[in-house]
Amino acid sequence: MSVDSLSLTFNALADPTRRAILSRLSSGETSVSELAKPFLKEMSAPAITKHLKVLEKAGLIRKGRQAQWRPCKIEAKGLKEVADWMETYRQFWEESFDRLDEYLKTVTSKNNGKKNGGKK
Amino acid sequence: MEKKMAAKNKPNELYLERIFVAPVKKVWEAWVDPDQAAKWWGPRGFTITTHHKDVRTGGTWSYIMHGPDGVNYPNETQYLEVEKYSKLVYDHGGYKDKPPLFRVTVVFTEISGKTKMEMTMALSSPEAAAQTKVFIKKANGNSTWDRLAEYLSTKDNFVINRSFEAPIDLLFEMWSNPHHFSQWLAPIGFTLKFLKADVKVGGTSFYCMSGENGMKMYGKVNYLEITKPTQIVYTQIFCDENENVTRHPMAPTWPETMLTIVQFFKEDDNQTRVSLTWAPHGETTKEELETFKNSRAGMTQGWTGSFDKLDDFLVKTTI
Repeated sequence: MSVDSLSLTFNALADPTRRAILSRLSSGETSVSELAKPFLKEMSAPAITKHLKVLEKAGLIRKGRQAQWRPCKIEAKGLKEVADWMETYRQFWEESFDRLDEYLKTVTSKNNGKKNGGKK
Repeated sequence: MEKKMAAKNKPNELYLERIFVAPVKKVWEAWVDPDQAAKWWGPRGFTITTHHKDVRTGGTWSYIMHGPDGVNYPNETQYLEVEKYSKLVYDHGGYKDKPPLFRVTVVFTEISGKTKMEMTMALSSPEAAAQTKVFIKKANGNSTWDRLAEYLSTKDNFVINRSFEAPIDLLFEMWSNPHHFSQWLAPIGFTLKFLKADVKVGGTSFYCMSGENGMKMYGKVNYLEITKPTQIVYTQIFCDENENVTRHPMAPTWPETMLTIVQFFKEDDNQTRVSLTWAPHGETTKEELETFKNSRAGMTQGWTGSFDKLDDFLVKTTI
């Protein structure tokens, strides 16, 4: 997980239209024109293309290259990185708490053994 | 509270207490509304599907818990007593011919805008209670209360609780004394060193976290509140070696200042629960808040509605 790819992903996800596009793609791959349809009421086709480019650059979607049928699909790996980000913090705290648990045992046994504990 | 402590522990019972930063009405609704309960009920990593929920005396809640490993656990809760905004008594863990595992009594009390939840789980025998205690710990069952605390928070806080076998004063010392703190906080392969430590309200500490590979990360801590032995509140920012503020090395749009609230609760003379809350602090940009929200595992909180499908998709594709 590189610095750049992660911040690109976060930036890409910060926009409601792009989240709506991802949400649509989560039910399966579809052509770019099909994908754009529901958004054309609110914005121009170039604006949608721009959103798709941001998503693609962030590694959240992938576009096919076939001339006729240009399928667009979601890239699960990109999303997984973001979903894991907070999980790494959770894991950090769980593990720190495990260490604290162990460390507490050494501190309490020292206190019980000798008065004035101290360092070895 | 001390009185409660003495009365809480019959040998066949397990007792649990939490304080949520929300009025009792909000807590109650999060509990009884199936759409809200779906966002937090169950250990971390679990999701639920409700078939039917009728929170009334004599009513039932029938739902399936979906484990992170794909295993489904059907449940049928029987409500024996329902007093709106104050009390619930129910049998938990039964389904069809399977008898309930235990009887739960939950009492909600609002104290100056916060809600105290007191939960007693009654089992058939002290042995069954001891077994269930081990089971709940193994299944990370109490993480459901962290999830509820996160769900009720307005800023999408990060919440984690843990009970330790040690007196409250010692736990407080583990956090407030930098010598102790640096012994256990750093991940394996890293060393935490305080270059400056002034642990008092208004004081600042400056630390360096160094990895075996030579990587160094610096940070500054400002103490906002220190109440021995119950609470420590501090903010944290990343900096360079000259104490100049920098952004998160891995994610430049991560909130610049993070707030940590550490609370200590005496569970008995030799048992203390630590409750840690973590949230963006001060003037955060929209982008920073979105970054924080989007980073949640499972992405269940910041992204509502249509994004449920995406969650399902991720679960399916990443296992």
